Amino acid sequence: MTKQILVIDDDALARITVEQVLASTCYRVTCAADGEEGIRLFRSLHPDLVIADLIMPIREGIETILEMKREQPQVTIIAMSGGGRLGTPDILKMARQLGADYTIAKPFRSDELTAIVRQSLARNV
Amino acid sequence: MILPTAPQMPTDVLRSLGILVLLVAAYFCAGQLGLSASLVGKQVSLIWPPTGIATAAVLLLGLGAWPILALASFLTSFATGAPVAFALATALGNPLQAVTARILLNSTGPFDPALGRVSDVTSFAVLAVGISPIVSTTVGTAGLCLTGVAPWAEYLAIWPVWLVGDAMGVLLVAPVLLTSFAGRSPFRVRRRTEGTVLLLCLLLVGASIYGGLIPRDIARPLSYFGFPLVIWAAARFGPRGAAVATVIVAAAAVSGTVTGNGPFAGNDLTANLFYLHGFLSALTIVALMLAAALEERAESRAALQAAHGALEERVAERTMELRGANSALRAEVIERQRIEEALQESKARLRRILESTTDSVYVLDAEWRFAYLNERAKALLSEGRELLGTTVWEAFPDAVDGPIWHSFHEAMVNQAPTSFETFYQRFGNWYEVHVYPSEDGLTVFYRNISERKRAAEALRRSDEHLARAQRAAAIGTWEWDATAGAVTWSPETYRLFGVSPETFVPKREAVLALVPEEDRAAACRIGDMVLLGQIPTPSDVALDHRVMLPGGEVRVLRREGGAVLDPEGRPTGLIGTIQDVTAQRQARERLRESEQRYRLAARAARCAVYEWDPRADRVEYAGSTENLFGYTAQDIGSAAGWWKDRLHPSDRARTIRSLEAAFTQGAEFWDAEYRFRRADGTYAMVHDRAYTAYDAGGVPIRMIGAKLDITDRKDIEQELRVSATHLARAQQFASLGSFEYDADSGEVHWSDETYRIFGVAPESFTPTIASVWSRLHPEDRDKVDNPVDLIRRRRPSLSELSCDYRVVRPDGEVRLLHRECDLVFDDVGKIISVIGTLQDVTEIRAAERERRELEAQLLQAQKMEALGTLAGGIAHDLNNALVPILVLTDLTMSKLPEESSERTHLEVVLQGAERARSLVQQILAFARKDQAQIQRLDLGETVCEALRLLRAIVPSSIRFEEACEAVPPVLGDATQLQQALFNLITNAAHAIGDRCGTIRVELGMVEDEGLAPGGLRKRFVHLAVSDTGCGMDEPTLQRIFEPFFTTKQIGQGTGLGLSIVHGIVTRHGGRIEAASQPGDGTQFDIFLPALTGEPYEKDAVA
Repeated sequence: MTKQILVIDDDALARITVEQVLASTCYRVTCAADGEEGIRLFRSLHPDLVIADLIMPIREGIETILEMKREQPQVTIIAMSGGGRLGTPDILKMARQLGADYTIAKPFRSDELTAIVRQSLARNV
Repeated sequence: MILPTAPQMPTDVLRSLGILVLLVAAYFCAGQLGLSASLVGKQVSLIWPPTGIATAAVLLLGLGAWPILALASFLTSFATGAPVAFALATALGNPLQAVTARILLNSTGPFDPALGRVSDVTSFAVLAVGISPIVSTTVGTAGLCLTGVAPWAEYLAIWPVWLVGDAMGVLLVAPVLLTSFAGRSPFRVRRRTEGTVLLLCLLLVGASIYGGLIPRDIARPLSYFGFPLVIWAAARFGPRGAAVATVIVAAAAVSGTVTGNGPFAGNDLTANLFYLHGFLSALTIVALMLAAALEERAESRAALQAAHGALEERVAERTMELRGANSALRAEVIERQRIEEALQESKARLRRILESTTDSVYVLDAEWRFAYLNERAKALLSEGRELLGTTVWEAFPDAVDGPIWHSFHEAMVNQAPTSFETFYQRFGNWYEVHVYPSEDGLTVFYRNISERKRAAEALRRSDEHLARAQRAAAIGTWEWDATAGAVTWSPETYRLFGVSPETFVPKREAVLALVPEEDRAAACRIGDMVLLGQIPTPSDVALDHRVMLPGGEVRVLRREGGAVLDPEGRPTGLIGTIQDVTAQRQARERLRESEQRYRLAARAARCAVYEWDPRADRVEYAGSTENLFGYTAQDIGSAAGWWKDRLHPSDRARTIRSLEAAFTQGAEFWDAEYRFRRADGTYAMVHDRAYTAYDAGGVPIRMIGAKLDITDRKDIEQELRVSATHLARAQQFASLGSFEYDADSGEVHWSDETYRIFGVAPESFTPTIASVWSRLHPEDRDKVDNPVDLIRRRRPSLSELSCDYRVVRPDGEVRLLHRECDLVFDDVGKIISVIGTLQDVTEIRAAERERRELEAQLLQAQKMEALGTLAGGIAHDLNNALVPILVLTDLTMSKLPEESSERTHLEVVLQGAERARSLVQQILAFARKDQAQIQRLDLGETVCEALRLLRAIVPSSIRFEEACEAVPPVLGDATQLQQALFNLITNAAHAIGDRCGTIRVELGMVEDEGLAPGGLRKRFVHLAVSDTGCGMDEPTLQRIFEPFFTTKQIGQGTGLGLSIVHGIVTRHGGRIEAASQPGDGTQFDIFLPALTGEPYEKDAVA
């Protein structure tokens, strides 16, 4: 069965890029442009893996991750970020402490992304 | 010793009484002692010392002592409990023995009780010891039997025992007393040590041999050992020593025998007694004899010596007499020689006088030939020729037809003596010549009178000088002979009257014509007095009158002089001087005007002028005392007491004392300030200044002074003082000193605070331009214009007037001063002074600098913060933008053939994207600030760890040097600090490039120069990274910590490396400094605050 992956990112370019790469490697990829949409899709799709950006409008990434983990603790989540703004600590480290299973820093190379996706999906098996 | 039989003085009575009591007591005690060795009852003793005392008493004190002895004897016997009759018998018998002894001794010739002669000892032994006790024994024994104490049958048995007891008493005791009290030398022991040794020996021998300490059998053969000791005493200590020694031996022997011990005991009583007494008699007599013999010998030696001395003295006297006679003879000879010499001298003097006579004498015969010349004449006239026989005119042809020739001929013709004075050209002298003609010729005396002539000439010149002096002093002389009616004027007098001696005859009418009408009466008054036969006094003659000079000028002349009297005392004329006193008159007039002006001025100056004659104690006030002090002329007393009474009580003593001190010291000038009571009772502050004149003896005779009312001035002075005090305080509080340079005098005046600022004392430092400028810091000395420079510029710029400079205080402290000054001009635009202030701005400037630095730091921090915010935002967006580039390029590339050109192009895109990603990472690292994991860490370990890593990265052409000391721990983030070190070393490696070079890393500890709060020195760990690279110039160095500032080529550096280092160090509370010279490499110094109070391995501060 093809794995369902939910990609949540407010940056359209990043979102499309991730979708393209993962779709080409035979995953089912659904995308959301913000946290709220992401949660809604998460509830309806029950994805195997969620890749969520951290700094987003409407609903913040970390908040989203916390919500999803509360509803479905066994879901695997990869936190993704292009770096924090001034005054924020290492946001990826924080996400990890708050529920994200893996982190990946933007920008990344395609093989870095596929490697971590493969690794996280293998966890569920 | 003499007993005063008829005491006349109370002291003698007392003395006699004393002797009486002592004698009775001694006798009584001796009796008790004797009775302790008694043989018959208590009345007959083995040895009876009282007999010795009695004998000695009568011999020393005289026969008058016997009643005392009788009393003593009676008391002694009575005390033993004997019947009164017996006691009376002893009182008769015992003194009788002593009296007998004295009579016997004196009957054989003069007896000296000192026992210093053999004959005296012999007499004493035979008469006093051998015979006199018979009297006492016979009387005493009879008394014993008569009173029934002993039966008559025992009379003959007791008698010898009594006799021996009494005799031994005399023999042993009397010599001690006699030698002690009649001895020639006063009673004192010489040879103290020897005496002590002798005494000890005597006591030892006495106690052991005679006293019975050793058994009798041994003692008996040793019994003669007493002799050497007694002889020693006799030989060395004379009769007195012998007597004392025998008494000691006797005492020991008697006590031994009485107690049945010693060499003389052991037989029956009588035998013992005789052994003992035989021994003691021999011992005592030998000792006394020997002592006397020695004493005699010593005496005769002394007498011999005295005789010898007297002889020598006589010889010396005779020698002196001879010497005196001899010297008298010699003096006579010398005197005779002196007289002879004086005679010779007198003759010589006469000869010299004769030889030195100045008159020359020669005689000419009738034919004018020289017939005789004395030595003087010869010497003067001969000129080496033989004059006798030649004619005077042959010898002196130049005199022919001269004055001498004529005089001589005249005298010869007239046969009359003549004298004349003549100057003789040939000898160049004046001569006084006396010529005495006779029928045979002429006798001529002549004498050189050139000196007199010269003196006369000098007198003439002196007169001329006098006349000139008179002229110069405008004093002329005049003389009027009333009888002749002639008036003589000196040239100056003519001049004073403005007439010429050639044309003017000083007749009475002519002179009066020159005098103005109104003065004529005065001018001719004295002349009239003389004509009337009155004698004018000098005061009559002294008068001033005017003369009208021909030119119209009026002159005041003063005449002084006196009358000339004839032998009868009548005035015959006048003589005197005349003087031009016009100028004096004018001066006096001016003086009068001046005084008047002065008085007015004194009034105006609120000044009371006074003159005080201390001798008469008269004070006159010339000024405005009434104006000043409110006193009317009637109020003012004329004595100094009036002034003294009005002095303020607190000032009176001081003021009078100072005045008296001035007088005592002879001070010319006196001044004082005091309070003086005004008429209305208030006090004025007065400044009194006076000059005092003293007579030759130093007594003040005149004091002229002025009392100035300075009450107002004093008030102003007080205000000024207060104001000056306030100013000084204000300057002190503001650290603001002031100065003034006087352009005319070149003097510099400082306020107190200025001295304080320069760290010098007004007493020891005089500010001048040179001295002040020498205090300036050497680097500032030439940069700052001094007041003279400013005056030269006339219009100095603001920066020249106000400037900062450093001064070096005497203790070496450097202070920064700020000067503000200005030029002061007078009305005509001349610069008269430079005034200004000096402020110690050391602390202010330091604070300003600190504030500027803090502002710069704040600005830098704000800049960094803004940049951080910016960088964070950019990084986030850039990272997002890079995601599709990197990922999709990868994806696309994977679908393209390996060798396709598209794939190669996409490879380049990837490289660019990677570089962008790296850049964003660095920006984020720069912006990331509060991630630091602050902990206590040892920087040494941190640095070593980083260096291990770095060695692998840095090219091998670069050498590493490490010098790491143990340092105290710091608080910090090891990763960040390693990052900083990493950046610095990367930069250093870049600076060295491909060349060979060295990077040196040092770690150590320094102490901050400033003091941390609480007085503790702040300690810093110092990390230094230096390289031998290309270095950099100053502008570059200024900007290296700015973000994005880089010297590297595009793509080789981000320009953030050193900014990051700066950020890290700053966040650690430290500071970073960079020093560099182009071509000389660069050094970065990082200072991180050390944890204070924490121990560390080695105290690097030492």
